[in-house]
Amino acid sequence: MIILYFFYGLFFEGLGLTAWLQMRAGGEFRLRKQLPWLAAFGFTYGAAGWLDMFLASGVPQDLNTWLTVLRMILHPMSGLLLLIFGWGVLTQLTPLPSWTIFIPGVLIVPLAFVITYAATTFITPSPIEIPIDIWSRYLLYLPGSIMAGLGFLRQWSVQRKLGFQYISNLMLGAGLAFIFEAFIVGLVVPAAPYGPASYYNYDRDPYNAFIGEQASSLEPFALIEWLDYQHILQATGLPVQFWRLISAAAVTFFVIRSLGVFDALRKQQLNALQNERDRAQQAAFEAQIAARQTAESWTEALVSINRRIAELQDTDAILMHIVENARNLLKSSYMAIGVLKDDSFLELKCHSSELKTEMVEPARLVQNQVMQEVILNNLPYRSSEHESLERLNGLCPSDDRSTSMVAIVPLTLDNNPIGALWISRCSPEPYSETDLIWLECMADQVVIAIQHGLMTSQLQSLSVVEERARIAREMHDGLAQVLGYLNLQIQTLDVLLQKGKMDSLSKELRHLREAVQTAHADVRENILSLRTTLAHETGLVSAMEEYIDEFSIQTGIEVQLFNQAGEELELSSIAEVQLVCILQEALTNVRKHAKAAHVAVRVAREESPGQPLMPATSSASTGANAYIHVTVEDDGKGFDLNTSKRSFGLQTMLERAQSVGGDLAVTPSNGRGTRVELRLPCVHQEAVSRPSLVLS
Amino acid sequence: MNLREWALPVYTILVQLALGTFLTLWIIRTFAASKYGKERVDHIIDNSILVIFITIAAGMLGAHSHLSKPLHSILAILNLRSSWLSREIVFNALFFLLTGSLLYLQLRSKGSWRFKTILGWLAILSGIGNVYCMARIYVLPTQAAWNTPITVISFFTTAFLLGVMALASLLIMDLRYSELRNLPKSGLQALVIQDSLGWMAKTAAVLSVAIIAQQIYLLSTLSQNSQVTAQISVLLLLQLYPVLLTLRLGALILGVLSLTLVVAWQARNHRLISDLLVPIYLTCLLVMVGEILGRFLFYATHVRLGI
Repeated sequence: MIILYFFYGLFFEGLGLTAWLQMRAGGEFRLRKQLPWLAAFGFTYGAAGWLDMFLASGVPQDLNTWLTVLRMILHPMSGLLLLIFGWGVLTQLTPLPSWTIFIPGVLIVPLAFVITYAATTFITPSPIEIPIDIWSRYLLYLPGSIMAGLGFLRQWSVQRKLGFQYISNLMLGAGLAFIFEAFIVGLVVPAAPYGPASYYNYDRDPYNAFIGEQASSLEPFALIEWLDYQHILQATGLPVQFWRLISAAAVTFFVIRSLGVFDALRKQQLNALQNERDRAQQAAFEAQIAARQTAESWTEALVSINRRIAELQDTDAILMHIVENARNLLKSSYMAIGVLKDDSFLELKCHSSELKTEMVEPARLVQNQVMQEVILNNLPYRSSEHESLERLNGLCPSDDRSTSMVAIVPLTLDNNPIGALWISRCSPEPYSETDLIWLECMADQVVIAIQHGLMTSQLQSLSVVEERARIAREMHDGLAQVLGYLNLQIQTLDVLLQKGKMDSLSKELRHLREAVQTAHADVRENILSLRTTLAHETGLVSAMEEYIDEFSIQTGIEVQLFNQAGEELELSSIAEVQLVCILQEALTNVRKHAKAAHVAVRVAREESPGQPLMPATSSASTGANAYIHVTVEDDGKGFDLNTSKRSFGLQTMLERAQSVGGDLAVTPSNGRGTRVELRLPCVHQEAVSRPSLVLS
Repeated sequence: MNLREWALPVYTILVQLALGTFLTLWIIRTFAASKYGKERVDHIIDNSILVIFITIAAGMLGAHSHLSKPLHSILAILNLRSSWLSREIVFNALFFLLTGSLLYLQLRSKGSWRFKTILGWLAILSGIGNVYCMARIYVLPTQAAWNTPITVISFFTTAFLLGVMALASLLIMDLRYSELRNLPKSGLQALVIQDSLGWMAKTAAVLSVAIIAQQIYLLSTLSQNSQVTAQISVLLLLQLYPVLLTLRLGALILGVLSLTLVVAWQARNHRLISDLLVPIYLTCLLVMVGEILGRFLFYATHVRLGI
C-alpha cells in the first residue's frame, strides 16, 4: 500500500513538474493558460498522496496529527485547483455553444442544496477529516475531473475534424482518463452515513456518526450494485488505491504526451508564422519599391507639367499633356476635363483615351447625375464594386466600351466650381483612395494651368495695348509733328514760289530736307524697336547686342556694350521686356537730345542690393539676393535737371523699372554727358522662362 | 434528515423561488413596458418564464418524491374544505397550469398583452395561495417552533428574497446568451436590467434585514415560551446547530452585501452588465445556500408535543 501511495504521489508530482516546465517554456497554444492550475494541482495532489503514504506507514501520534491537518488543507486545495483547471479546459480551449450559459443557472438550485447538505454533515461528531475528504471529492474532484474529461473529449472531436488524428487520439485518452479519475477519485470515498458515501465507499463497514456506532451494512440498489466497490474488490482483489494509481498514470501519461504534441504543434505554427512574416516582409518591400516608383513617376509628371506652365506654353497643349500623363499613371482607359459653362452646363473640354488625346471641338455637353452631384457638393467621388453601371453612363463619350469604374474630382477656383476632372476604366478594379488623391493633385495642376493661361492672355493684351500706346505716342511726338511741319513748310514754299523768292525757297527746302531726314530716322528707330521687342527669340543679351549694333548704324553714334553678367541675366520675362524698353528709351533720348558721339552700355550683376539708386523712389522689396545693374552713359551735352522741363520719357522709364521691383536713376551733368542707371532684381534660375521676349 | 426528508425543503424552496422570481419579473415587465413599449418588452422574458415553469415542475417532482405513494397525491384534493394540504395541492396545480399556459402563449407569440398580463397575475396569485397554504400546514398548535405568524411571513420573505436574487442572475444569464448569439434584443435587455438592478439590490437588503429580524424575534418568543417543546427548539438552535445558524445568517448577509456592492460598483464604473454574471451568480448561490440552511433549521429544530 505504501508503494502504491508513493507512486500515486509520484505520478502527480511528475504531472505538476511537466506542466510547470512546459509553462516556463512559453508558447501561445490555448492549453498553456491552464498549465499553472494543472501544475499547482499536480504538486498539491501529489503531496497529499505522499502524506497518505506517511500516514499509512505509521508515524508517531504527534506527527500523525500534523500530517492529518496538512492533508485536510492540501486535499480541498488540490480539488479546487483541479476544478479551476477542468473549467478552463472545458470552456477555454474551444468556445462552448451559447446555450451552455444556462447550465450554471439550471444547476444553481441543486448546487445550493448539495452545499447545504454538505454543511449539515459537518456538525456530526465524526472526525472532521472524513467530511472534508468526502466533500472535497464530491464537490471539487468529481466536477473538476468531469469538466477536464469533457474538455479533452471535445478536443478529441475538434482535432479529429481538423485532421490531426494523433492529437485527437491523445485527447480521447486524456478525456477518458479524467472521466475514470472522476469516478475512482471523486465518487469512491471513505464510508459515511450520508449521501452516496453510504454506498460508494471503500470501507463497507461504515461508522454511523449520528449514533456513534458501527452502521449496519447498506445494501446497494439499482446500478449501485453493478458499480459497487466491494464487488470490484471481490472480483479483482485490488484495492481502490490501485485503481487510483492506474487513473493517475493514465492522466499523467496522456496529459504529458498532449503537452508535447501541443508544443510540437506550436513550433510548427511558429514556423508557419515565421514564413508568413517573411513573405509579408517581402511583399511590403516590393510594395515599398512600387510605391516609390509610382511616386517618382508622379513627381516627374508634375515637374513636366509645371515646366510647361512656367514656359507659358499653350494652355490647351498643357491640358492635353496632363490628361494623357495622368491617364497612363492611373492605369485608366479614359480621362477628361470638363469646364462649367454658365454655371450649369458641363462642357467636355479635353479628353484622352487609349487611341487619342485631343481638345474637343465643338464643345460637347456632359450629362450625368453623378457628375452633377460631385460639382454640386464639391466633393471627390469614386465608384464602388456595387455601383450601378447605369449611373456612369455618358461619362466617356469617346469610349465605346462599357465603363466599370469611375473617379471624379471637382475643379475649383477660389472655392468656386469651374469644372471637373475624371477618369474611368473598363476593368472592374475600383480606384483606391490613393488614386483619388493623385487625381485631386492633377486637378490642382489643371486649375493652375487654366489660371496661368488666363493671366498670360491678360498680360499679352496689356502689353499690346501698352505697345500701341507707345507707338501712338512716338508717332504723335515724332512723325505727326514732322508731317505737320512739312505741311506748313509746303504751304510756305508755295507762297515763296508764287512770290518768286528763290533764295528763301532754297533755304526752306533745306529745312524741309532736314525735317524729312529726322522723321526718317525716327521711323527707322521705331521699326528697330518694334522688331527687337516683338520678334527676337535668341535671348536677351543677343537682342540687346543686335539692337545696339543696328542703332549705331542708323544714328552714327558709337554704342558699345560691356556685358559682365554673362549670357543668362536671370531676369523674369516681364523684367526682360522692361529692360529692353528702358534701354531703347535711353538711347532714343541720347540720339534726340544729347548730341553725343559715344555711348557705353554696361551690364553687371550685383549680389546684394546695396543702397537704392534714388532714395526717394526706393524700389519695392522683392526679396531677391541678386540684381542686374545696367548703366547707359553718353558723352553728350548733358542737361540740368533743375532747369530742364519735366521729361515724360524719364518718368516712363522709372515706372517701368519700378513695375518689376527695380530702380532707376538719371544723373545728368551739364556739359559732360548723362548717366542712366537701372537695377532689376534677378529671379532663381528654375523660375526663369525663356525665350522671354516672345509676346505673340 | 435523511435524503428522502430533503424533498420537503426542495419542494418548498423551489415553489417559493418560482413565486418570487415570477412576481419580480412581472413587476419589471410592467415598468419596462411603460418605458420601452409592450411589443419590445414582450419577447425578452420568454426564457425567464421557461425557467420559472421548470422550477415549479421540479418542485412538484420534489414534493411527490416525499410521498410514499406519489400517484395517490391527487386524492388529497378531496379534503379541500378542511385541509391546508389539499388547498396547497390545488393552488400548486393552478400555479403550474397558469404558468404553463403563459409560457405556451409566450413561445407561440399568441395572446394579447393584456390577456397575458392578467394570466401572469393570476399565476402569481395562485403561487401566493400556494405558499400561504404551504406555510399554514406547519402552523400547528403541537409545534411550538412553527405555531407562530413568523412561519407564514418567513415563507413569503424567503420567496421574495430568492426571487429577486435569482431573477437578477437569470436576466444577466439571458442577456449573455443574447450577446453570444448576437440577438437584437440584447440592447433592450441590458437597459431593462440596468434600470432594475438598483431597486432589486435595495429590496434584497430590506428583505435580508427582515429575515434577520424574524430569526431574532422567533428566538426571543421561543425563549419566553414556557412550553418544553419551545425550550427544546431553542436549545437545538443554540447548542446543536449554532454553526449552521451562523452559516445561514452569514451566507445571507454576505450574499446580499455582495450584491449591493457589485451593483454599486457597476453603476459607478459603468461596466457592462454582462460582466456581472459571475459575481451576481455567486451572490445568488450564497443567499440560496443561506435560505436552504434556514429551511433545514426550520425542519430540524421543531419538536412535536404529544404523539
